[in-house]
This record gives sequence, structure tokens and C-alpha cells, in this order.
Amino acid sequence: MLYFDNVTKSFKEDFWKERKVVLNSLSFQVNEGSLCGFLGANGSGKTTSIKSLLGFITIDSGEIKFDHSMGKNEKETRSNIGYFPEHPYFYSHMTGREFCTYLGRLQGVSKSDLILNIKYWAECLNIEFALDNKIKTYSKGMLQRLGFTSALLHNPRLIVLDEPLSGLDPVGRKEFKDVMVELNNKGRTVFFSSHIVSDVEEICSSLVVIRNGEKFYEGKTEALVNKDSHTDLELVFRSQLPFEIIGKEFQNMKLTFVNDGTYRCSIPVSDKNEFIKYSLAQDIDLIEMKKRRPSLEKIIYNTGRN
Amino acid sequence: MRQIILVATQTFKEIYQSKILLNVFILGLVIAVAIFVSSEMTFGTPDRIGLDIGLGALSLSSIAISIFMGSTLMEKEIKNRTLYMIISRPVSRVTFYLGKMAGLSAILLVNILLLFFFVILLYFSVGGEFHYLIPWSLAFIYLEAVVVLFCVVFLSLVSNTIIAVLCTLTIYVAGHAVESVKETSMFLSEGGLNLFVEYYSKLMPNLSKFNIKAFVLFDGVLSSAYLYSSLIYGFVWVMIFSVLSIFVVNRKDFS
Repeated sequence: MLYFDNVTKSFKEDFWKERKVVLNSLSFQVNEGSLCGFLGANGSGKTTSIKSLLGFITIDSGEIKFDHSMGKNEKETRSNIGYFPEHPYFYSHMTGREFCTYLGRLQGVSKSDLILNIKYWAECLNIEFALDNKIKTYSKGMLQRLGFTSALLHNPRLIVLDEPLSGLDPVGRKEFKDVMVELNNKGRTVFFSSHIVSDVEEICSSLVVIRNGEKFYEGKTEALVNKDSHTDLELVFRSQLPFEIIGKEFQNMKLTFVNDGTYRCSIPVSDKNEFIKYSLAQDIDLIEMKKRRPSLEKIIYNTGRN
Repeated sequence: MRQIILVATQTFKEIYQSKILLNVFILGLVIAVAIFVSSEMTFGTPDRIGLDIGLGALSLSSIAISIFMGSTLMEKEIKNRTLYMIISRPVSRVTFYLGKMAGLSAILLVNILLLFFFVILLYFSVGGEFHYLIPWSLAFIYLEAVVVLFCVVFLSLVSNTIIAVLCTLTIYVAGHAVESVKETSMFLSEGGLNLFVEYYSKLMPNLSKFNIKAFVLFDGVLSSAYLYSSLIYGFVWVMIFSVLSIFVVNRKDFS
């Protein structure tokens, strides 16, 4: 649905300074119907990529393309995109409802549809109670909610969100994530940037990770996590036997924690059946056995350091 | 067109809510007092003095609105990034620019019409008579304000607010002085200066073309050829500044 093809963008901070490359031959694609997370540290080029995709800034080279189904020309394509910026910007003299109506009408939504859509999304995002208040009286979380509402009024096919969860309380984050999942379940493509890995891991089926303006990973979230999954099992068990005796039976067992007869250790997956038999024979109380699986956050952090 | 009207309406409401039109009442009061005082102190021509003060105040207030509101019109949208919410939708940059300009031009028109209504009421109340150039002077005051508005917006797009205001004020003063300077003997005798002023009056807006107050006050006559050519001259400058601004707006990075 959305293709970045060797996109390069550089900025000149000062007349005398050299150009700084922010996006370096960045290529990736967002498939139709996916809920795709766009990950990267602060300053890695996420917002620049989104600004390029929306045409706020021109790119030095490369191409940003959309599927033909998104529209024949730029205007049609734009009418199928719902965008919500990192810090939503509003006309503070307007009420929330006036603002949504203004943007909806610019989008070409009919008055009757607009009334229904404002009501529906404002209820979903829990901002309906404040729609008739001036925007200048809104809190940051309320502004986020209003901004998200305004991005959905025209039932866009592609929803582009730049750090939508930043500045929200836990309840707000949950509500936003639920709405993103709901939109995705309805067939909408959701592409959102974040530097909070756990949020992306929780809801995204696919990922694009960038670092210093270059693509670092593109693909399924699960694949990235499994790729770096350990081949060890993590065990928690209780036993009266000292660890030295158990350790003699399983040479590759590593003890990580012990407390009053409760052991936490790891063994290779190949020793799994042997250990189960041994624990039955030795009356070991096996409390937990699971494959060690690092969080996406840890994978990206570790790889970033390497 | 529908989108231009929507943006223009929103701009009009935004500026209206900033209480800019309060100046109509303040200036109206000042003009009324000035006319009253001058009619007490002058003999025989209080109507002309009233009209003189009224048209002068009208012109200055509309120029002030043009320069000070115009210099931040686009810059505020870019700086506050409210522009992102608009141009991420199927609204072109040109549409947005034209809508903003139409909105502020409409505010200027309302400001001028309200003040003019007040001035003309006072003028007739102190015995003034209708002159055919009065509506023309109103049209020229508006046209001059619009030219200045398009000029300051263009300059604000290529520089910043302060530079835009200073340059526009210079262009405004120079644009009014250029005709008088051309007739000054010192310039007539200096070949180089004479040439500079001559070229300046051709390459930059010659705003003295819109100043017909003296003809209104002293029952002067202006040919319709002059009036219509000045009108076209104003429109041409609006077009020039529009084309330049559109060129810049279309190429500008809103980062």
C-alpha cells in the first residue's frame, strides 16, 4: 500500500554547515491491512519519514509511492489518508466540534456523515464530553484524543500516526491501542511511529525499525523476536537436593537464582525430557518451565548497541 | 473553490475573534472627536477637514492591519504547525494560501467599510456634499491595503516577521514618496539618482497612484482612464505578489 524506495533526505542546519543526512536510502513497504509499527530511537528519522510521506518536506532522492487503489492523483491519495501528528496542532479559538467539522468539511465529508462520525469516534476516544469546549481549555491528553478523532472522520484507508501514545496516561494508551486494533480489524491499514517498543510489540503484526535514517529491520514482529529467541529453557523448581547434585546430572544447567530450596535456572531445550524424567524420579517440584524469550525492547536495544 | 471559501471563512473568524475590529470603534471615536474639534477651530470647511482626517485614518488603519496581521498570517500557521492539519488533507498549498489571503482581505474590507460608513456619516452631518471620487478613494484605499498585504505575506514567506514588516514599511513609504521625489530638483539634476528613482518607480509598487485624497478634498477631476489604469495597476501588483508567493509556498519545506 505504501512504498519507500531509496528515500534520502538531508538538511542544512546552517548556511556554513555541511548537510546532515537524516534519511539514507530508506526503503520499506507497508502492506494493505497491516498494523505496522515504525520504531526508532529519538532522532532516527521517523518524523522526517512521515513528513516526507505527507509531502510537508521534499526528499532529495528516491520515491514514495502508494498503491493505485489509494487514488489516481495526489488529491485522491490524500483523501484516503488520516494523519495525526506527534504534537497535534489546533486552532485554539475553536471548540473541538468546530475543529472537527472544519477538517471534515475540508476533507469533503458530507454534513450528515460528519455529525455521525464525530459522535462515533469522539465516543470511542472518550472526548465527546469536551467537544463543545474551546480547544484552549483542553489538557494534553484531550488534545491527543481530539487529534486522533479528527484523523478518522473521513474513514481513511491508511492511518498514519506519529507518536500517538506519547503523553497519554495508561488508560489513554489502552484506549488508543484498542482503537488502532479496531481500525485494523475493520481492514484499515495503520502505520504508527513510536520509540516505546513495548507498545509496538503489543499490537503490531509487522515492524519497520530504523536507525540513523537507515532501515534496520522490516518484517513480522514475531519473526524478529523468534530470530533472537534463546535455545534455552527457563526452569523454576523446588527441591531438597543441593544444586551441586542436580548440576552433576545436567552439565549445561546454569543457576541464576536460589532461595530456600527454590531454584531458577536454565537448561538447553535438548535436556527438556531428561529433566522432566529426573524431576519425577527425584521428587522435584517443577513450578515453571518456559522458553526464554527476550522482549522486543531488549532485542532492539542489544542490536543497537552492537 | 469550496475549500478556499472554507479556509477563508475560518481565517476571517479567527481574526475577527482576535478583536481586531475593535479598532473601528476606537478610530471612529477618535475621528468623531477630531472632526468636532476641527469644526470648532476652522471656519467654513469642517466637512473637508473631517473627510481628510477620516480618509487618512481609514488608510492608516487598513495599512496597519495589512502589515501587522499579514506578516504573521502564514508564518503563524507554519510556526504553530496548524498547517500540518490542513495540508495533510486533500487541500493544496495554493488553496490554503489563497484561502488565508481571502480571509484577511475580507477582514480588511469589513474594517474599511465600517469605518467609511462612520466617516461619511460624520462628513454629511457637518454639511459635506457627495463627490464622485469619494467611492473611488474608498476603492483605492482598499486596493492599496490589499497590495501591501500581498507584499508583506510574500516577504514573510521568504524571510521572517520582523524583516517582512520593515521591508514592507519601507516599500510603503517609498511607494508614496517616489512621485514627489521624481519632481525634486536635486534628483532632476543628478543623473544617477534620477535613473535609480525612475527604475524604482517602475520596478516597485508606486502607491502614490492610489492617493487621490487631494482631488476628493478640493473638488478635483480625474479622468476615468487614470482611475481604471490605477485599478488595473493595483491588480497587477496583487497578481505579481501572488505568483511569487505561490512559487515559494509550493517549494517550501514545512519541517
